[in-house]
Amino acid sequence: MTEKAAPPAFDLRDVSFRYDRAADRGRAIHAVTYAVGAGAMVGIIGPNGSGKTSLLKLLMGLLRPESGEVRVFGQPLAEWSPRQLARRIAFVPQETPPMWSLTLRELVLMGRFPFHRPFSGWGWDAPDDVRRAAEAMRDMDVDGMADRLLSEVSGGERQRAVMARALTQEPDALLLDEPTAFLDLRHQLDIARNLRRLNRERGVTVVMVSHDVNLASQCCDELLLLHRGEIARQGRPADVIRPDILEMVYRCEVIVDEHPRSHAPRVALSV
Amino acid sequence: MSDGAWRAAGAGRTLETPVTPPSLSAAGAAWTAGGGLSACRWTAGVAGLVVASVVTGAGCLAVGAEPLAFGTVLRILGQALRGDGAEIESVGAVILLQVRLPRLVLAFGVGGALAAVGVALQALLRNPLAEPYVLGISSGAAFGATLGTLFGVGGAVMGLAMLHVWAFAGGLLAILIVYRISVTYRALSVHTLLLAGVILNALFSALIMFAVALADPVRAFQMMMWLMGTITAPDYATLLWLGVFLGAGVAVLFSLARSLNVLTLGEDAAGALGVEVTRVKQLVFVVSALMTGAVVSLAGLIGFVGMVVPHAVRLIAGADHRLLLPAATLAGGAFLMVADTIARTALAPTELPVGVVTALIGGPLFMYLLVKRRAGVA
Repeated sequence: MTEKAAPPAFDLRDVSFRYDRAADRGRAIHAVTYAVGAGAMVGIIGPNGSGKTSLLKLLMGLLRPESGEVRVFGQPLAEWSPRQLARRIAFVPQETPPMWSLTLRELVLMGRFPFHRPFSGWGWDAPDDVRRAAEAMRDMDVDGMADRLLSEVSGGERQRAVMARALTQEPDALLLDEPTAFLDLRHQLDIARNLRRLNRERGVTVVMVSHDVNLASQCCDELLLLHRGEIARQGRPADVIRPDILEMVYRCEVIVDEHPRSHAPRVALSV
Repeated sequence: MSDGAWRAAGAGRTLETPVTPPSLSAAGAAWTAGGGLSACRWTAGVAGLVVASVVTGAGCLAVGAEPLAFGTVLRILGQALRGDGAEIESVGAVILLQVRLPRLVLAFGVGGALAAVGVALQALLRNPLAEPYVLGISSGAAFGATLGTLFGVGGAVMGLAMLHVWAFAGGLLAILIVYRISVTYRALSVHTLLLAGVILNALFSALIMFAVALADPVRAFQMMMWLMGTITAPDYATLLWLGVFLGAGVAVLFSLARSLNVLTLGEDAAGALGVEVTRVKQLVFVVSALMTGAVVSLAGLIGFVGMVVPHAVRLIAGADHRLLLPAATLAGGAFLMVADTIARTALAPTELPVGVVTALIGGPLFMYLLVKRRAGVA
């Protein structure tokens, strides 16, 4: 499955996007050209409002670029049906408020949606789907609460359930929006290790948006630093996590040293 | 990818998470406990509701100015089904087959359709208070039907079809306005949507009143009764037409059950999971407008069924639309059969409009849900 010679997983060519076409200030992404190689692990970082989430949604076709082209696994996005895309790429959005009495198991089973025919409203959950969902829940450490309601569990547990749903899709690429935002230290570590493992052992392409610069620095092979909708810097963590660059983009004083074990660059703030 | 590899890729758990017992409010989750929605659970739930609906219906048939024994009801129905005419000329049989049964079947169809449309709109707009009446779709359809009546449509089935077209157009117009507003004010949608419904209701009511004022007094009274939501015994040709029409609409909604499940996560998440969001939305809107139009042109404005019933069913059956949709449809039918029986017997010989009965039940629940939502509980 690890075809290193394959076309890039995601290929953005001169992509621009605005939320409000009438107003220029609605500009979210400006002329971004960037390729995510198949099997890469990329972190998208940047200040609030720099266009991180917009870029992630453009990769998945949830937003249509105003100009430029997005290719996914070598094919233009327009040639993919939503179902086809969802069989290859899983998207983990930021926490969505729970609706009604959905159980964790029901949420995770939705990961099998793209594998069902359209208009197949009838039909039950195949034992195979149930088994895959159970495995994903075990991997994400939420199997003990499979039958609890989403509204009854903590934000972190919800976040892990959403991760489990993505795993149930058995994707070739994972797009994550702040995957560790609601998690305590142990579960941050769990998610990070999981992502690394999926990437290393299965060749799953991982693109994650994160506010946690240090986590991104440790996990990812490559970082993309966004600033006002444009790429401020891209490259290996050591080339991006530098005080001069970060101070320019974040406009605050930062201290950059080295992680004692992984030797990845580490950012510290002095309050 | 092979399963083994996926299992290997999973994280090693370091600590055991204590198994938390499900709380009482998770009673609905019992349906899916232990592994998804199985054929067995689905069949048990739906079959149970079918039996309950039939028993409720037979009970409603027995009640009235001329009380019939429960056994008599079943016997006459059985004879009618077999085409055996032993008692078919009796007073009881005439009351039952010509008056009460068609009216009961109409009530069932109307209630089921309103509940099904309510469930679908709630999923699409992610708002448990969404419902054709509350959102102004019913009054839009009523306005269309009023125009149709004013411009004169005649004939039993063809005239009815034309009336449906008018009502459908009015309902669709209302849906499009409501949706447009909910898209424009995405962040405020829950309350803005209700506000949009209030405004639409006021607007369409004014237009309808204008039309009523132009009609002669007898006609105006009929129109007022119809607007308040009244089930009258239809002929069997009308029932057949309505049955086919509503049945087709409900079947389309059922076929979208999985998509509706995923859409409750929001449009972005649903799109990322492979739902063709725009197509599903268009389909649900058109089908909802068609069904609401048919219901309104026959029975007028019957409010809150589409909210009360899905809310109650969700507590028991859970939120999975594969079960929720058929269950709410059956329960909605049963609910309106009972409501209509109350309407025709409570103040006998005077008949209440059934819309008054459903509003008396639904209004307080609506307020309760609104307050609960505001308090951040729901």
